[in-house]
Amino acid sequence: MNNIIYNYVYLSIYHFLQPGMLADEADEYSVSRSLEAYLLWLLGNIMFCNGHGNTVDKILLVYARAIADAQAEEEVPSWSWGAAVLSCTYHALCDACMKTEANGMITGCPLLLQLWAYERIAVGRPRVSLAPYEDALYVDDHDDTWPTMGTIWMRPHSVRFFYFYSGFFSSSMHYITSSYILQRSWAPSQTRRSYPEFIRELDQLQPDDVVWEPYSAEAIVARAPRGLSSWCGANPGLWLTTAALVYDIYVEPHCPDRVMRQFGLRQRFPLPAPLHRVPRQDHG
Amino acid sequence: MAPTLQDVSFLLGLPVVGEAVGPRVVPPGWMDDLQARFAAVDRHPGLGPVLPHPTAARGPSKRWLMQFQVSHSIAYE
Repeated sequence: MNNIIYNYVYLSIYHFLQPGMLADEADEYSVSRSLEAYLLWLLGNIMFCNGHGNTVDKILLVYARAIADAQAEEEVPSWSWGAAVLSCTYHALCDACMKTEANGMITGCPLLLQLWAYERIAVGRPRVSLAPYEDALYVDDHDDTWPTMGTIWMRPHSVRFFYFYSGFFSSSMHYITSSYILQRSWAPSQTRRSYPEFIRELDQLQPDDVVWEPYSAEAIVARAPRGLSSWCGANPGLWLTTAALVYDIYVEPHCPDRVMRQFGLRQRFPLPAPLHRVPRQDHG
Repeated sequence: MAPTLQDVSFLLGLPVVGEAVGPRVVPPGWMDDLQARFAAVDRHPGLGPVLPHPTAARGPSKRWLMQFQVSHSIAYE
């Protein structure tokens, strides 16, 4: 029962990351706490952003602690972090489109939203090298540490810079989140007047401007000739599921019927969601 | 259009199978528990004592957690 967070981050912290604020001869308990603090940061700052800004969702305490205190990989329950991130982001999108205040922010996983958009449309894309993944991205023989499709948008500009980071971030998710903080390069129109400029570009989009099937076999081979992380494309039987996605009290329907072209299928008029939105106050 | 589980899988490499990350009961004393659990952390002597957690916070404070952060640079020094 692999668990990505345990598998990657736990191992990373012991073998690559140094708990930088710990004493030189810190005991295992101290290292586990550093891991717990790091997990709360990863979960609260990258995967499940909330509207408070300066705090992490309380329930993540339970999950971070369970992972940090596990003595072996098998002890960590296999949680569906992917469904949780998607649920939280769906909720965030519903919430964000109703906001009217000037300082309103989008919650959930903005990183997912950005990568998702970059893959499909050119509006707002950073300037990155589209060269195939270099060998330096494959620092480990274990294919679960290899890059994801999203890595291309986060790849540092120079190999030297990558080496600086590669030693610490062996996991794909970890690598993405770590390079998230790196400065990206943008077209001039994206740094000035970006809002009216993006709106104009979005209005002019034609069907041919959209990459409808970003994960075709050809696209994967072109980007990653050596292959992707084994997590990428795992469990394809679930991609068309209409099961509920759960994060905390958020229960969102998965709606692949709205993006059938992504799966090489014909798009029909979307049906009502199988799971109707439950008003927030009914969650108790 | 909407992001799907396939996007999460290919872009982030997160697992899409497993138990739901559902609601959990967090004890009212979570803040004291958190501080007590981290009190024994053997930090670098030069850093001084751990600052107290802000009492009004609705969840673990990010700034407070940063006192236990992992360093990305130290291994290269």
